[in-house]
Amino acid sequence: MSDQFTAIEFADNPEPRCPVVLLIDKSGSMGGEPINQVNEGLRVLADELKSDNLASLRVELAIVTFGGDVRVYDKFTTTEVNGASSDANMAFVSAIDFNPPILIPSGQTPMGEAVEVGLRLIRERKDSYKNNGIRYYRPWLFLMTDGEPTDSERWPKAAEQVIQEEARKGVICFCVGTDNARMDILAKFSSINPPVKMNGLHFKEMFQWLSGSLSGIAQNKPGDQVSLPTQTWGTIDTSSI
Amino acid sequence: MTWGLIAKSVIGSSHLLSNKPCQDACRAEEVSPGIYVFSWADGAGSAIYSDEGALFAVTESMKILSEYVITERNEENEEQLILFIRECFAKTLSGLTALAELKRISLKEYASTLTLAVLTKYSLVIGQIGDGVVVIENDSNDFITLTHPTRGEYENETVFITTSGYEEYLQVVVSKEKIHSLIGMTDGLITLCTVLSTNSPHYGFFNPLARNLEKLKTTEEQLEYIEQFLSSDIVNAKTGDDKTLVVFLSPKTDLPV
Repeated sequence: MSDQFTAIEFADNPEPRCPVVLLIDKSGSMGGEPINQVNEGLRVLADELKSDNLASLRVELAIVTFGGDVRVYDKFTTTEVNGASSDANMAFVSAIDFNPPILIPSGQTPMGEAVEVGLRLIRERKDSYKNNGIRYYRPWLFLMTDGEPTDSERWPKAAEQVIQEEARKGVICFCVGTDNARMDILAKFSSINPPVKMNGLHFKEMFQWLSGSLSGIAQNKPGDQVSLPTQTWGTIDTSSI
Repeated sequence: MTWGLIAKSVIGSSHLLSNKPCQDACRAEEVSPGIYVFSWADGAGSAIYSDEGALFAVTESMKILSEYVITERNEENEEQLILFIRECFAKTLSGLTALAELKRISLKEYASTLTLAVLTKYSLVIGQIGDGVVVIENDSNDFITLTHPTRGEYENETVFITTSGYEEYLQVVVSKEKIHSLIGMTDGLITLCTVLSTNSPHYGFFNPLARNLEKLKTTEEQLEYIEQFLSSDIVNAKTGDDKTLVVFLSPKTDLPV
């Protein structure tokens, strides 16, 4: 455009946000190659999101791990804090600033409690958006496990809360099972997406798929359904439908 | 030229990447001396035929509005104009429904927003379904938003003309301001040119846009300017969406600098 013209300026608006909670199983059975693959996969996720201009500014990630206890990664101190003392402000980090932690497995699988923490973080984040006039896409809960939950009193209630929140269109939950994961239990955590059983340890491919899906959503325009790219790293488990 | 009547839609970069067509459409015409009719639409992203839906909505509504203006010749009766704009939405939807039936395709695959405006020397009357925006410039070089984008809870939700019960969301606005410029757009540009929290126009966007267009000598040059701007890297860095600008610049004598 010609220099004789006055430059057109843009308004300074906050980017709309796409909040995603990653719920990651780091129980003892994830030790060795599985957790190595998860850690590598998280780095792939970070790199790919950063390379997408819109996604890097719009996608926000929170990491909730469950192995022994439930912890949330605090972006300020770059350490994990106890789930109960976490808040959305410390947990959600923009993809452009996302430096994934290195996860170390131990303990049992309090998956129900982790899901409850994830739901709470999402609620808090939405309140924060609303209070600050920030637009947002429907949040994601992304749940990965290699076994079955050990908090048997808690997980059914947590699953019910997710289903209700999905029905209110407040969240979308996506579940992935690896190894000996109980796919029938995972099926109870979403009424929108049947769980996916990962082929082997294809965590890297899974995280690449996740970053592609999130990039698609970050460019989403009105009327778009969340139509996710095909999963080549796993198989949709329809046994519980 | 110190005046202009331009309507241009440009495909968004994310549509190019995903092999989707441009789902925006727009028209602007002087249907009789001093009477201008505008129509623009934005097809729903994942609706398969929403590009056709948007184009149909625009061409059909333009036809209906133009016929009305020419036959009624009653443009100072804004009450009637409002009624007619409402009717125009209903007739456009009927036409779209008939098209969907003929092609045996579900109506929702033609989902689109739609904004209509009729400008006469008496008033500007606007009807809007969905998340477009209409901005005017008055005599004092103030830019004012006349419609707000209809949104759901989430960033990617709005109402379409095909949405059941759309009438509840139809915004009808009448302005008696002396219009120096009118700028309409679909939501692809909104984050670049309005302050979202207040839905107010960013002067640093609209004023240079209007003044720069006024410096150009022909309609072709004005169209090319808009096309270049909408396809530019700086704009595409901020939005991958389809973009539409519909611009009216009335003949002016005193130009703000």
